Amino acid sequence: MLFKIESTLSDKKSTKFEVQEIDRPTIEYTDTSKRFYEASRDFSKQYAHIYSARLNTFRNILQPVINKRWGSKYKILKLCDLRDKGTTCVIIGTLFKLQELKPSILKELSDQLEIIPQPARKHFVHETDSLVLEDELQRVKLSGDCIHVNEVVTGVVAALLGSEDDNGMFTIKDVCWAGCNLQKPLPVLNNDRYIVLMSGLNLASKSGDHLFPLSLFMEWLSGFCGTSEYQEEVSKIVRVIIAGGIYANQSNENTLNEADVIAASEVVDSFSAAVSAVTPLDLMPGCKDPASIMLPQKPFHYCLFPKATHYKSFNRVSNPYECDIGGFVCLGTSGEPIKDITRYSEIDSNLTAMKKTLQWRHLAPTCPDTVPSTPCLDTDPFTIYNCPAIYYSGNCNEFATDVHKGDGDDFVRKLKSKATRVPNAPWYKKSPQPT
Amino acid sequence: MDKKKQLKAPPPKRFKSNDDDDENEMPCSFEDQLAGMESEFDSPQIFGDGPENQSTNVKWSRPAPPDFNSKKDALIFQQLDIDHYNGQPLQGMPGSQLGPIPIMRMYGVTMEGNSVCCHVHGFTPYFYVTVPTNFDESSCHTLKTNLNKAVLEDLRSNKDNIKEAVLEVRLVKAKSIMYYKGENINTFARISVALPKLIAGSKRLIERQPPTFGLSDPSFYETNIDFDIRFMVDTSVVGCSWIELPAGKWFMRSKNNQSKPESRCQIEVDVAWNAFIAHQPEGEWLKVAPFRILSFDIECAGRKGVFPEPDKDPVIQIASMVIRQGDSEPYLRNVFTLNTCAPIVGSQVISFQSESEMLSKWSDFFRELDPDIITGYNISNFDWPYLINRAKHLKVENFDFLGRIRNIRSVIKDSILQSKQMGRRENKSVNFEGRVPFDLLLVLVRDYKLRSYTLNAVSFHFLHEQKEDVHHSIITDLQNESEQTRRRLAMYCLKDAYLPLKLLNKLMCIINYMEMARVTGVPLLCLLTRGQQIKVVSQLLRKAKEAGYLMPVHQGQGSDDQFEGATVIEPKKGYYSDPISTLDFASLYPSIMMAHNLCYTTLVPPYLQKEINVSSDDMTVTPTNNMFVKASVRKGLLPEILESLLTARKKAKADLKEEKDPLKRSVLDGRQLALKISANSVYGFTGAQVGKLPCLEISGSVTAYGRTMIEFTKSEVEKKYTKSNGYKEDAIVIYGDTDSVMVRFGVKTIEESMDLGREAASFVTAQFVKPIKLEFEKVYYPYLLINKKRYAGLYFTRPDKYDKMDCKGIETVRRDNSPLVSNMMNTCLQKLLIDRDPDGAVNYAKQIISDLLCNRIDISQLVITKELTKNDYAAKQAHVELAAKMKKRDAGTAPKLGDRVPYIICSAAKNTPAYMKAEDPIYVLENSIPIDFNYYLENQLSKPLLRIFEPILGEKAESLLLKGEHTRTKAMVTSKVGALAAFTKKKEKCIGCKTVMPNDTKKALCNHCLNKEGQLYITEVFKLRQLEEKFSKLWTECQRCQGSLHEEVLCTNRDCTIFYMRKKVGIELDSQEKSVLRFGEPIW
Repeated sequence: MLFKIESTLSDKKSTKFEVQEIDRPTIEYTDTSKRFYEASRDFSKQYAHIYSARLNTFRNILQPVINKRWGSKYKILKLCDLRDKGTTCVIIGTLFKLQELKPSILKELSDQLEIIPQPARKHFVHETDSLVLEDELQRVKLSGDCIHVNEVVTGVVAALLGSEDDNGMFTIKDVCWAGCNLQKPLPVLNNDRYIVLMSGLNLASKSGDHLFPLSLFMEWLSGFCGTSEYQEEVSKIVRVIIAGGIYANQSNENTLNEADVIAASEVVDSFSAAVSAVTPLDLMPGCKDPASIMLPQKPFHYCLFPKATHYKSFNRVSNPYECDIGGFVCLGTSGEPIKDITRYSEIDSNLTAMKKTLQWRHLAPTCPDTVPSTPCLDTDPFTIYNCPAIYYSGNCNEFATDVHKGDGDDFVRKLKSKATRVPNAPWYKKSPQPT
Repeated sequence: MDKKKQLKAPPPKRFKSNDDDDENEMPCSFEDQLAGMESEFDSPQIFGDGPENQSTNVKWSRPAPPDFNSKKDALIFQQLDIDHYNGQPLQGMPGSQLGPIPIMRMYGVTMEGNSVCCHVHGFTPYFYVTVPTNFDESSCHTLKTNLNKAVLEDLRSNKDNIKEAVLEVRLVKAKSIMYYKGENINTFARISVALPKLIAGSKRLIERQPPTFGLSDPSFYETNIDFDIRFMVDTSVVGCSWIELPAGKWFMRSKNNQSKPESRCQIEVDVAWNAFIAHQPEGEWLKVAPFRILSFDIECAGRKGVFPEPDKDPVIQIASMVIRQGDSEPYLRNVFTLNTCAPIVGSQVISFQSESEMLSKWSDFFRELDPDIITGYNISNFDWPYLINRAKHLKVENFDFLGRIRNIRSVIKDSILQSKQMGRRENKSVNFEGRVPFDLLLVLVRDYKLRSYTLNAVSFHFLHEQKEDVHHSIITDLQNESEQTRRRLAMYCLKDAYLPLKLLNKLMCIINYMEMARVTGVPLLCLLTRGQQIKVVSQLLRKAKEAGYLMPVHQGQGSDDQFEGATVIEPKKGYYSDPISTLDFASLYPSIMMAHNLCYTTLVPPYLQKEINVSSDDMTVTPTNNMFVKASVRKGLLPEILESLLTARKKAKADLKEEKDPLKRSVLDGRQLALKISANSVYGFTGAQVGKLPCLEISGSVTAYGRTMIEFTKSEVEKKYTKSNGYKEDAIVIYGDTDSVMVRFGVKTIEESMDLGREAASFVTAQFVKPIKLEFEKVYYPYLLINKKRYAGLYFTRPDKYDKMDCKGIETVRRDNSPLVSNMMNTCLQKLLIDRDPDGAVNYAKQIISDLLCNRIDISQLVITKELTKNDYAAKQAHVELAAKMKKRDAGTAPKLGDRVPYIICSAAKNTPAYMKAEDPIYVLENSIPIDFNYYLENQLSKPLLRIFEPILGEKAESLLLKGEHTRTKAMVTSKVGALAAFTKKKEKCIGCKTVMPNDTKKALCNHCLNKEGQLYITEVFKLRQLEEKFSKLWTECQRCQGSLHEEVLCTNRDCTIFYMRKKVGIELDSQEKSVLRFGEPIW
């Protein structure tokens, strides 16, 4: 089982199943996702702004990191000031990966006229992939072993130490990622507190497989099962976060059927209402759910939840979502950015990809290049400003968890990655408090 | 022929046929007149020497030439261009010793990459005239003296100071190329004159008063041959061939010598015209020297709304790329910029503060680089004239010394080329003595039929690369902003210089043209500036000279004689689901000419038919009742030319199979193609009625033979392959055209039909005169025969897999249609032929029609594009009207002359003429102007659709496709502009049931629909999601294409598939976002 209560096995049976009243503790909660809610949705704008904003933000972030790493020995230059070949300097810029297999709408359109359809790909890495670094004005091709092309993706901002050679290539000697910010000191807890993270409920699926585990979950969450000790443990769950996929999860590659979604909306509403009745619920939309497809996704519309909206404990939240629960910064996405990283690189484990994003200090570097995004204007909402205590990503193929240590310091972050699609196993997981 | 005749309307009719490619050149008509005038054009204006070549940069300059000793070393180079000038005789050289004399110049490059200019002395212009029987040596003398006197008198000012006009008159024995009149050899007077331009004058003088010169009723021979071609023919030099100057026969020019160099070439030499070796392009001499090919592009900072004018708008950038022939990447890349420009990796940026300095330095660079071939996109008509005029306006000294001769300036001339292949084209041309201007645009227009010839469209078509296009209205802004924006402009400019090189390489234009020059024997430049005729003339002259024939001057009558073209067997229209075998005559017209020995020299003139002393066994009477002698009596020249061309082609093809080296392979492939085209143009030459030597007896006979052969094939096949002869079914010839017949043998498999096809081909071939050969080429399975010259089918040459889908005469590529038509036709045909799913095709067509009527078709599919060539068309035209309308709206971005105007036909009041309904696609999108879908359905889709579906559906096609259920639903779009728009007030409707909402409410739904709110919301969100996905895909694609993430996309490449889509999706997404928001902000 999920909780370690073996020690209670010797207890008397009678006490185990006595009816008792346990209060769920309430814990202070702040939604800090403002930047995701307020992302601009002006479609007369282009994507250049989000990259500029990202680069500007990272210039500020990287400055101290560079000083710490390389001292002030090397000048930080812009590419356009790179006039003397062979001088070692630092360039801050956005990485762009030239990928032959990257899907292109131009190719798609011309393929429509071709006789033989191209095989659909799920992984777009090719041996000819190469890296360029781009700043506000220019690009330069990169060479050197410090960055392996298959271990980064488009959109990551980094500081590169190196020099331009005669062929106009920039040879990298060292690289400096933004890394994660200092973590806010974590509060000391006297009692265990749990947060349930789940995703990929797939309620719009036509098969009924999900119904039994779901009601099992409801019973468990409401304290209708297990011994009293067990129930006491369950009562320590202070919050449920559904990280996308309540209607449909990403692994479902087919386009979502509108009728199925409409049919499922009542079940989704009822389920949300039921959860909200017993515990605070944060409901994030996923990329296949009936919400805008572009990141950052705004919360689900209230008209989809006529029942659940009656509960104050029902929170429709954005994706990505950041909140502060009792002093712990909780940050995560519904999984699309992480999945996209694995598609465009050789990083095959979701956990590694998540660690990379912490290293890059960016939730979704491939956004907007290969993940749809709103054309944000002045800020890049995906930058990680506060180092999270709990960092999760939904809709992965299997559950995994790890503790991440930052580069220079010994602060600890939690990584969560959600298991989905194992019909008889619960898709939820509590998160133990950090020690 | 004289000029009047040229301009007479209508132009002389030309014969009908589908594979001719004759042409009629305007320039030749001017020759007589021009030569008669005091020629200012022939002699280049001399302004004193241009600037010295500088040597500033190792990369720019050519490698230093080795030390030659003309006594010991041979000089070997590949010549690229040949011209001539009038100069003074050089001692020790043959020919007239009294100046001025014509001197030939050959320009070329050695294998080491050194440039060569070779003066060839002693070649004298001449022509022939018939003489009376009693004409003897003394009459020659009289003729010479009298003619000399007459010509000198005729020269009014005699600027060249000609002392002796007629150099020699001697009698020669030869035959006229025209007619077989027995084996008698005639006597001609060969008159040599001092300068080429005197030939026409002499001819005119003799014609005026023949008796003065002891002649009566003279006919002239070979007076109308270009002097350069004459020289090449007489010395057996073919275009782009290798020339060897043997040791001891040539003389090096140098500053210290008596004869000073006149050219900018590294090696400049003199040689006698009969002392050099012209290598035929075979074996070792197939090789190609490392030519320097320069590609460049300029940018001008224009004013808003006006096409840049060289006396007002500055040139701001010139990008150059240089490649050596045979390399794959340019070795030199630079850009000259006005004002500073941030550095560009991999390219040299050279900035200037003044435009004059930039131009002057660029021309220095040009001279130092010494390119052999100059290419670019539309450089002939835009870049060069602009640069030269701009330099003139800014008084940049020495800019226009661009050729290889020191004292000749490059000037702009207008040239008109009238050809059947390309129609009338007005071009500008600039002279670059010794360098070959090779404008890629001209090459593409000549060789490829494309929807659009913009560099964008062309590079997408051939290289599958979209190109970022910066609208000319923002170039000035980019130039004025900062060194970074100028850098962006420079990148764009460099790309425009690079793409032509890439295309040249991909299409192997240089190699193919070079091979064409070698095969036909004309200089490279002629291929681009002249038509097809000169190629045939060059070949005909070469053969005639060998065999002792002279070519008469054709007195152009522009006769209205017509002869029947090729035959078409009435098609049995329909959709054939059985295999159809196609039998083709290989090189039909050439092989007819060869088989029946049809030639000028073998034609028996009608008045001689009875008298001639040839037995009827040795005569061929053609179906048009013309008589030709057989090869046993006299072998024709044309058949001989054709034979050598076709043998050479066979050899090239065989070599091609053996050859492994890719470069040599491309040379050989180019050659076999050139040979094929040349063989076909011989027939065209004989039919070109305003040509050099038309002969309708030949061309008429050829087509007549073609017709009978097709008929004969049909009857033979249908006679032999019958059930009664033991075959499965009676064979039916369902269609035949010019050189092919389509046979349905009634068998069900491709293999069987291939076997029968092969058998039938050899069976019929056996009954024809050699070398006519009927070949089995392919099987169509299935086959859709729509009408004459209109059909489609799956093309099989092997039984297991089809090669391609073959469509002829169907609206898949027509340029004046919207892409919707060609895309739809393509898909329909695919469904019909490949999927064999007629129902699917019908449903697809219905779907498209229904999509069209419901406004679900992407707007880029509906854009029709036409070039704005002039503003005052007699008849009103949609694109001209639109251009005027757009100019009123915003002069800055309105299309200018020469731009292509894209437009969409929009709805308007009833009976508005179509030309008034055209509108700018962007304007349509922004103002949601309703599109006239009916126009697209009726004027664009319906005809082609009915054409392909009628054979399948029969009579009911129209009612089924154009009037069915699917046409009932139509989208209504209300315009935001227009007369009525001001008075209409938009009322919100309920998203669920479309009832008009009460005025004050902002809600999405009426009370009635409120209980379905979630459901309706989901529907709207789904629409939003689709648009969002598209938006994101499109704009990120554009970012990748422009190669920058941080800069906004500026591209206005309207040829790009996604340009309108991108615009449309933004607008649609905005409005969809608004409708979703009517449900209320998701946060309460």
